[in-house]
Amino acid sequence: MLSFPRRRGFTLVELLVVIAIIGVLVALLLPAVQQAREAARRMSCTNNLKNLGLGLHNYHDTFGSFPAGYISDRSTQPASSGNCWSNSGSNNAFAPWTVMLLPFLEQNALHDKFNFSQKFTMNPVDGIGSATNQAAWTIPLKIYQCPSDPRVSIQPNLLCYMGVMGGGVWNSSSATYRFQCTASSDPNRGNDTNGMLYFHSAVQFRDATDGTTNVFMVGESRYQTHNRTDGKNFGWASSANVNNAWSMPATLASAIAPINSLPDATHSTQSRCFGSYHPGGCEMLMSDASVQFFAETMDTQMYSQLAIRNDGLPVSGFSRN
Amino acid sequence: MNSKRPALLLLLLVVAVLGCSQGDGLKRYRLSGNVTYKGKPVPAGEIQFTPNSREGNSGPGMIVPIKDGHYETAPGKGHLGGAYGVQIVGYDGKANSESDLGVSLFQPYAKATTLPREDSTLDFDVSSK
Repeated sequence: MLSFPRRRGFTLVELLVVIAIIGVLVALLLPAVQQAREAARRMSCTNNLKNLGLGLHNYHDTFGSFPAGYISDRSTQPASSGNCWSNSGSNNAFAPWTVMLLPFLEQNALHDKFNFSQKFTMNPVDGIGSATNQAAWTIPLKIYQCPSDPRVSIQPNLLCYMGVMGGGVWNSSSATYRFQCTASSDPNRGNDTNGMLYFHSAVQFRDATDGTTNVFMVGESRYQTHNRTDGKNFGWASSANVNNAWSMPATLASAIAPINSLPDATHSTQSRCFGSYHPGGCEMLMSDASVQFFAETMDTQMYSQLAIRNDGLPVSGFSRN
Repeated sequence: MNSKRPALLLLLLVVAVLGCSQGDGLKRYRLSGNVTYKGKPVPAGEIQFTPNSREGNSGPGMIVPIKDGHYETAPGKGHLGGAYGVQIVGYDGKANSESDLGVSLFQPYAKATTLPREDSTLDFDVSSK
């Protein structure tokens, strides 16, 4: 008859079940939050590329052509095959497109810090520029950096967007496009001249006969060298190596190696591959200043053909979003 | 005890499902083998495998590093099978002031081949063209 008013609490098992359910819900939520953060970073990155595109178009409106990929006192264009240059002749490199574009990115003050009649820095160890240009080389510039790219903490003046110098020359037995000319000591460094920005280029809209919607102009890259202990690292204002043995541009790349296919950022990878830290592919700026995301699973030949401005080959069947 | 077990099972199931969402939706096959140049293993370099879309085999290419004469595709990064082009770049592996891989040994080697739609091995002798 006696009824004890018992306080009803939780048993250990019930508590564990509740904790497990909360754990499951958090586990479902956390990746979604991370994905939302990455989506925001990708949007910001797209915005950078879009601004580069508008800047390049304004450059074209002002000067009648897109800027040169880079300038050098080499008097000859890169060879159409074999080694790009011979050992003889001057080989000083001057301004890259990233510096010439500055007034069109509302960076006039930074533009004025460079002396365009003096040598530009490639990297501070070999190919250091004049004192004026070396000082300006070290200044970081946000618009050239993708917020998803963690390497910026290692090399503060890093460039995350490479100009597209071309897609190489078709080689039927390897089924790949190759550099039209290479460095004599390394076939993975070289130059192309069938893109929109290359050595001494002055490409106009009318030269992109494949249609400006179908030609890459600038692409995301995670391959600019940033972590060499000997200091041979590059930045957004780096010019190029125009020697015979190791020639390569520092702010340009050819679409030869598939997107994200190379693991490391080195001197041998930076001028032939595009890629990003966004999952699954990278953003590319087309010549009409639209920005498209290309999946790393896209057809490799299509990717090279999109980088060539005038090959007349059809481009279709790839997914863009 | 009886009410705890289903909850734990549910947790395990959710973790397992979340953990297996990797992959790019392509059926890929592993490939490995040896690369020799003048009878000796190629110390360093890379092989590029590209599906030949001009022969109706379109898809993403891949690049596999060569170390001490051996190459092997990374897990989940294999080839798709069918008509492929192969390009091999080899270095002497002696680090110099410019490159850790050293100087290029030969002009890029090119070969057309058909890869089987199964895990396989394929050796290359660069000197025999």
